[in-house]
Amino acid sequence: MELSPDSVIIWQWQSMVLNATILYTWLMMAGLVLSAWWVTRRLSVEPPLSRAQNLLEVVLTTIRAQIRDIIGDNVDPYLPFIGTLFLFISVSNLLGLVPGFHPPTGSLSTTAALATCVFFAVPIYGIAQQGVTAYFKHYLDPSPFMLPFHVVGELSRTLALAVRLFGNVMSGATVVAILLTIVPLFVPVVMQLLELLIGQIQAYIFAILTTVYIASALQAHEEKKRSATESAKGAT
Amino acid sequence: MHLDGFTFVIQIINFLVLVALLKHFFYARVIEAMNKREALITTRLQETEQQRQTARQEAESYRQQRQALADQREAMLAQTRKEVEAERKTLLAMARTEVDDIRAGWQASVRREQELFFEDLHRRAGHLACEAARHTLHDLANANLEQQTLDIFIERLRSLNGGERQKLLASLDGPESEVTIRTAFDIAPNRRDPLTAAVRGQLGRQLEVQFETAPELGFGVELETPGRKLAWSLEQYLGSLEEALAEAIKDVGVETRAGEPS
Repeated sequence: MELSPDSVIIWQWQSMVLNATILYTWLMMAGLVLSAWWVTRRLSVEPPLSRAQNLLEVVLTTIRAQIRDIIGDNVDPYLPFIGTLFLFISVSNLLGLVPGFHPPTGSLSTTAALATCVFFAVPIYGIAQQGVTAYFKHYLDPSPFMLPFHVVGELSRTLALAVRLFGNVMSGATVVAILLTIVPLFVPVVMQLLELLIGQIQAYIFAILTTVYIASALQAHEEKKRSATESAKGAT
Repeated sequence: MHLDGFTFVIQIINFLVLVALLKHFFYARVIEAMNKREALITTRLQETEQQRQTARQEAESYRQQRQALADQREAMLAQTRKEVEAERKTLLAMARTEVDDIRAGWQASVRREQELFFEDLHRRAGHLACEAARHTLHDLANANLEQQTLDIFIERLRSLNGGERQKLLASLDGPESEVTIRTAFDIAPNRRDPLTAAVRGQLGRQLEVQFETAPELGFGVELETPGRKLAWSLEQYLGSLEEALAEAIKDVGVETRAGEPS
């Protein structure tokens, strides 16, 4: 029994391997992009809207509302990254219910890649907001002795993101596979429903945690600005 | 739990490509459409609010105009009522004045007609009285009365005062000194001589005396020189009497009008 789609080799040439993870990722990407292109090629500004456009707008509005709740009003710079994370994980987990489809999120390589993207996105957004010096300076707050803890904290939360998502998806798929061999009728269906719920929850958790990490990087800067403003007011 | 390095890198690239593609094909387009719709809705809401505001202002304006028109109508009605009342009073006063004038004119006309009637009545009465006297004297006239008439004329001729005599003499200064004696009756030839003698005796010359009969004299004698006339006749007396009667009637009329209530 294969625990990870990485081990399902479809095509290989020297060190380049086309495994199930990459193949299904491409298929999923193609599906997402083509669907988006198909719907958005004739968007209507005024009602009546098509059902597909309505669905996209509902999804987008919900994602923006979630980001706005955590980060604030300036949502659009973070929307492509966080929204794509959510859509990628959500659709991947959803397609996991399709027989024969190997969800890319069931691969540690994929979840680690996503977590790594988050790992780099947080300082990138922080630096874009505050500048290099100001961003890295907060690793030394309140004392330079805290630097190792900050670094470990960053690494550990990235590892936690990757392993949490991988563990949930992989365990769900594994449990369903095992149950299919033991109890072929009805019970796997229930478990698949549970897996569907868990998959969406994981997508939500991954996206929300990413938003929180980015927000924490931004809020450190905001708090510093606010305290500077307050001290300036006190001085005057 | 296996982490494949190649897959890891490929998945990072895949994810970043997916972010770029979805940003272009999904987020940007949908957000643009939503922003356009939001702007459209905002614009429409603003237009609606503006139209509502305009409608409210116009409604308020119309209400004020209607109120102003109602006030103006009330004011005009009040003014018209006042003018009509004033006009009615004026016309009433004019009608009363006119009626009073007409009544006064009518009363004056009646009074004048009454006066004229009375004056005419009085005048006719006097005239008839004189006519009666005249007819009576004519009827009574005979030779004796004519003789007495001539005697009276002779007597009067003789009793002329100085002034009247001088005036008669002055009228006889011309080359044709002729005196004409007119009577309403024929004078017998034997009666003419004393008359001619009396005339010549008073006027002191050898005058040519002509005798003429003039029935219009009524009862009397008339002496006429080229510029003067001396007469004694009943007509003269009756004329004087008629004038006196007319005067008396006029006086009576004035006293009657003065005694009437105004």
